[in-house]
Amino acid sequence: MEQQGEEQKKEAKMMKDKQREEIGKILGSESQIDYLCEIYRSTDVEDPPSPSDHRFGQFVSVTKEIDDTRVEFVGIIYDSKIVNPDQGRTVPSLSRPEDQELFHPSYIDERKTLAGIAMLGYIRSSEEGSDERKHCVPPWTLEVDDIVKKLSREEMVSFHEFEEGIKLGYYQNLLKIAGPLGKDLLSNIVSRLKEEKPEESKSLSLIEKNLEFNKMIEGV
Amino acid sequence: MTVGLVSEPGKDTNEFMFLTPDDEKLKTGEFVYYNALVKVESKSGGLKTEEKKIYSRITDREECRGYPDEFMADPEVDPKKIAKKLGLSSEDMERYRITAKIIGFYDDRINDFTNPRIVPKPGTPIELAPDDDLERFLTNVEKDVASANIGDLLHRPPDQVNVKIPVDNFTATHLSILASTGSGKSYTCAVIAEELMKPDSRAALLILDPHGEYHTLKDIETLDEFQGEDGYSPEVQILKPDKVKIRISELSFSDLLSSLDSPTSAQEPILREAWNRLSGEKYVTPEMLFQTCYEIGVTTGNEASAEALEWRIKKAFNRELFDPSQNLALDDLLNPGQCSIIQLDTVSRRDQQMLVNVLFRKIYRERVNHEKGRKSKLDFPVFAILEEGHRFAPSGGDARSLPILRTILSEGRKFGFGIGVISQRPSKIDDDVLSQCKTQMIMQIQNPNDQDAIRRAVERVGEDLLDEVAGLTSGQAVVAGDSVNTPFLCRIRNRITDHGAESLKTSKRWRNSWKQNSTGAKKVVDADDEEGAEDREKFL
Repeated sequence: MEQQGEEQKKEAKMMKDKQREEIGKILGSESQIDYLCEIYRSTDVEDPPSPSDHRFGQFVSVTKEIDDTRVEFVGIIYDSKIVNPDQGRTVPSLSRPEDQELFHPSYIDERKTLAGIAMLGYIRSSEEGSDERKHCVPPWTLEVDDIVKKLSREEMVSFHEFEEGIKLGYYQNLLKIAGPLGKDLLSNIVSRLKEEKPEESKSLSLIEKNLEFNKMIEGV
Repeated sequence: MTVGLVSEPGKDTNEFMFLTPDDEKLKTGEFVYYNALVKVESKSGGLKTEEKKIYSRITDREECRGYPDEFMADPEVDPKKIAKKLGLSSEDMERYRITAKIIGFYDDRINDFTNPRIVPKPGTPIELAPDDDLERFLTNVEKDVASANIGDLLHRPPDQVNVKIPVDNFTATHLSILASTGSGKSYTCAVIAEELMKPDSRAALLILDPHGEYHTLKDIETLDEFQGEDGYSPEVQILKPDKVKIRISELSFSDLLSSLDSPTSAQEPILREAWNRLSGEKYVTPEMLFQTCYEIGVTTGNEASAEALEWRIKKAFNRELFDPSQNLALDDLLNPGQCSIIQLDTVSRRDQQMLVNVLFRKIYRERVNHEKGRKSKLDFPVFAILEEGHRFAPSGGDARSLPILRTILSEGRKFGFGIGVISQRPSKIDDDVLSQCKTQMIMQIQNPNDQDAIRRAVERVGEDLLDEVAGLTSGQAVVAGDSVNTPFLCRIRNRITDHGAESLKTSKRWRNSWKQNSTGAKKVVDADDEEGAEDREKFL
């Protein structure tokens, strides 16, 4: 009995972890690589993601079956937006906020945190067991309600590891999509990779310094 | 091999641009070609259209696409590595825009290039000129005619495109080797001398050697490369400064005046008269000259002026160079298959000029006599190499040797007397002399005045190649002029004989000398052998 109880607990924890990995779902897109994700709230899932799970620069993935092959789209949160229907309301509300949830559940749902996701590439599982990693514009499109999961730090590093070393093949695409925040974002990625891969720190530092310099010089 | 595609016409009418990914082969001075339809004369006399290879020389090269400066911020990080990191393919990354100048197609009828004035259309493939074509077309060497193998084409791997220049051409229309100290001018000159002494040429060669650095050419006599199948074996004669003599009677009156220490206006007519009276004499001694001057002075009432000539004459002719009877006999000095090296390292500059003046005048006179059908000691052409050419033909100077050199360089071609002028200071050579040397070998020269002098005097070297001159390293030369069909960059071949003009190993000599001196100073001397030991016991 005791053992059964433990297993149930374990399963529940795994379920929770799984839920924690899931941070939201695809809401729409601006382009082939620019997607909008609605971050889960407590009304959507039992254990909603914490703010650090969908922070700026968080690597995310969306897994899909394409032509019987598992393809993991890899992207990054490059921007976020809070949607609040109360913003700009000029008349007072007739009910207290805590009561509104009872009377207007759909209205409350309109309060959202939206995250902009730039797709950086994909990982395609091959039959031989080795994964094909590509930094490019994914040729396939995601669908509304596709589940967005956060990528662990190890998975993030692994996405950048190639035979010839660390690579940021999406550099230009990300700069274009992320606009004014692009350099900050790339600088953030490079500094994380530098920590994980000290043997590559010289060349990564050079990229980081260039980004910092360009960021500074643009405003002058 | 296609190396690029034409992108646009150049600024000049004979230029075009092409793009290439090549990052090392296509340097300034390299030869490329494109195919074009050209109208040429047919055997029947009419015109026909033929596809020809239009050769061109690369004159400029600039990068039009490359790594951004940011990739090169850290000298320890390879920009290719950064490019790879950012997803750029490091292969085929760079693009170069090359400017090429059209030389033309090789016309077999005239054995030279003809410029068809057809600029290639954008998109035309550009090929690297084949080695065989370059070997055939760069110089005009005919079969059975002697040629000098001076080295190989600089932009191609060693020994891939050998460069031979026709001996008949540069020995007739004169040669100049211009290079700063240490860039290999004496070496190149020795290579030319070696080529001239080979069985194919068997030249009558004279080398004026002011630094005594050509003595190693003596090995030519024994080395196999110089022996002919018909029994030919070259002779190399080295004349030490003490054997170099000018017979006083061989001087002209103007030579005499310049040898004497500023004779006065009253002394000049006396000297002229005395020289006229002695003109028939084969041997003239300084005493004979003074005696004749004195007699004329007494007769004309200028006894004092004539007497004052005595010390001038003695001072002028009591030098090793002048001798009443001995001289450099032309038949000993010059013969086909013989190289005579006159060492002048201990002879004063003024005497060197006087020697060149007298000797070259004699050779020139004999050659003129021969060509005019008169009796002559020299019935064969002569080629003379003049090291430190600026000493003998200085610009704006009054060297005794300058007039005869000007004459030989402008007229010598007709009479079979060629000169090779070697100098490290082209700006200090007389412009006429320099411009008359129709074959030029220009090595590293960094002095801007010297570069300007070359630009002024040398007609057929392109600006692009002259710009390369400062950056050449030892043993590399721009070869241009009448002996070649188009100027090119050449790597001078290794000498067969040893080089005799190495720079002094100064620091080694200093160390050795110090060691000797210090050992001597610290030598232990026995107390009884010490200087003044015998007086030690004496009372003060």
